[in-house]
Amino acid sequence: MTALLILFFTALVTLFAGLSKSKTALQPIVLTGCALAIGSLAFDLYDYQGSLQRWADLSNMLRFDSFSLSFGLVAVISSFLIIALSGYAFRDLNQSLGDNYGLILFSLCGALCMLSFTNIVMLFLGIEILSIPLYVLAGSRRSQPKGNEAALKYFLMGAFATGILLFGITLVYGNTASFDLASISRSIENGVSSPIMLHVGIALIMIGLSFKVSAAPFHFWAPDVYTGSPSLVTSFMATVVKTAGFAAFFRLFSTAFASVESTWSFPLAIIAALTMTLANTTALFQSNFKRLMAYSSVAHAGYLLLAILAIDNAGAGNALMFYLLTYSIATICAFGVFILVSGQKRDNSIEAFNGLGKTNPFLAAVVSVSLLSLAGIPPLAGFFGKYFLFTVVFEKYPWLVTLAVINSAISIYYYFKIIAAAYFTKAETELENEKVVVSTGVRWAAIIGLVLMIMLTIMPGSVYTLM
Amino acid sequence: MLEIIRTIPIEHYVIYSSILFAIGVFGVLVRRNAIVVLMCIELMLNAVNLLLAAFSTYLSDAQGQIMVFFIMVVAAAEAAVGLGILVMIYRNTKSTDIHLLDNLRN
Repeated sequence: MTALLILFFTALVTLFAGLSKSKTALQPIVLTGCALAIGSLAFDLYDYQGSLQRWADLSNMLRFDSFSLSFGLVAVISSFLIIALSGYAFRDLNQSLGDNYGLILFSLCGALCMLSFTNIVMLFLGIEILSIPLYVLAGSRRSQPKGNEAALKYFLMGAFATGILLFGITLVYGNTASFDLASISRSIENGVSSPIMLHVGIALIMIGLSFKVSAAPFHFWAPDVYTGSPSLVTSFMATVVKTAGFAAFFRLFSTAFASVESTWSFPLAIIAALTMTLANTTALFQSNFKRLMAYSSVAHAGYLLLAILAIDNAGAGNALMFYLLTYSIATICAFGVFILVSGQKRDNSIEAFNGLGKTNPFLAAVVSVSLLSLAGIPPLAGFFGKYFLFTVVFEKYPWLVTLAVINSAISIYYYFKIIAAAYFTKAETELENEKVVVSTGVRWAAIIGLVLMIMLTIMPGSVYTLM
Repeated sequence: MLEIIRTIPIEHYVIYSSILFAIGVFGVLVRRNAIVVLMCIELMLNAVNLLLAAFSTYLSDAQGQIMVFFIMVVAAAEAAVGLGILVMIYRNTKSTDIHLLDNLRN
């Protein structure tokens, strides 16, 4: 809760600071706010009994247990890295810089509500607080037709998904007479008046949340929206939004609907299988980097759904948290390099990386490490993420884990396409041979990201048991 | 009072709201004009509101009606942002037809 308050007030300060002529103070203010929020989350996690007591009054609506605090850390650390990258990505914004930072922070506040809800009303409000600023951010470059299109598609799909989710919530409410997760769970265990209505409600909630986390067959908006939005906003959507969405999905289904697991488990397994297979096979044919990363993030959503299938396993939450942390840091680092490279070479395709290994060995190293981690190559953090995730679900769905392993093998191909462009393709034109100028913010963000990835590689166990 | 309200069984409300909701979903999937799509989404949300109010009365539980207020507030905020996005698009393309917006597909 302290972190939520810090972020909210930082957002207000940022909005007002954006009115002044000099914009140089904005990024430091936002970074300080995020750092303070990380500190308070880490402190609360260290002493989470105390944190639970301090905010016990809120426990009908929000509960800050170790689950929400550790997922909150993942979301705020990701946002910190994204804002560190923003110095270069937002270089052309002047009038609206304060608004952009403010909207990112408000969106992050929504993410924190989604991580810690104990009442479905807070889940709904959290999703909306997260989404509405993002609709604006997706279209923040008003003169770019692609950004406009992305904003409209994201808005229509988001609002449509909200409608479906709400209808599901209403049907569940009609059967259980409560929005509180614990009482819903109790009513379901005691038997409901109309099981069909309850199951339709759960199915609609599942569909609504699948839209939000972009799981197939409800993922069709993701590639378009990710390609059209400004790159920094795309990296926010691919990491923070996904973290919040999966944490909310997990929290809702593991507390409220755990007793009727047999009804929703198999359809969700089919959704997971479909998501990873479709996304990985489509990603093979992409040449635009952002579109490729969009399909890659849909594929990772497929792996992440495995954790929700394993809710009766005590390690499922930890595995989900660890996977989201490795995935977020690697994605942000890859996007950071892409924002620099595409900005200076005016090219959004994979060819922008040509010859990067010669001109900028540091950037090439960062992008290779993060993509190899996403692919799950053994010594790296991404491998441990996949290992933990696949082991918790293996007993229940061996066929799904086999499919997931085959899919991660397929994904190595398209991640290697980018690494091969950086190291083995010779730069031909003069523009490609030019050294990419690295701004200090991006350099520091990349170094922090690399250090975190190495830490996760060396001591995966201690982070895994953080929760 | 409650007795009078309950002379209509709850199933009627469920069926009526489901039909309204289905009309909304159908409209979102079929219509081309972005403003009509937005109105269909509002119809979906209003179907939800109606059903929540009905359940709330039948269960004699106020939470459902509080939720209706939250949904109304959020729907208003969403409509404001959505219409803003539409105005921005109309300025650039002079049209609100969503099928014209397919530049992002390769």
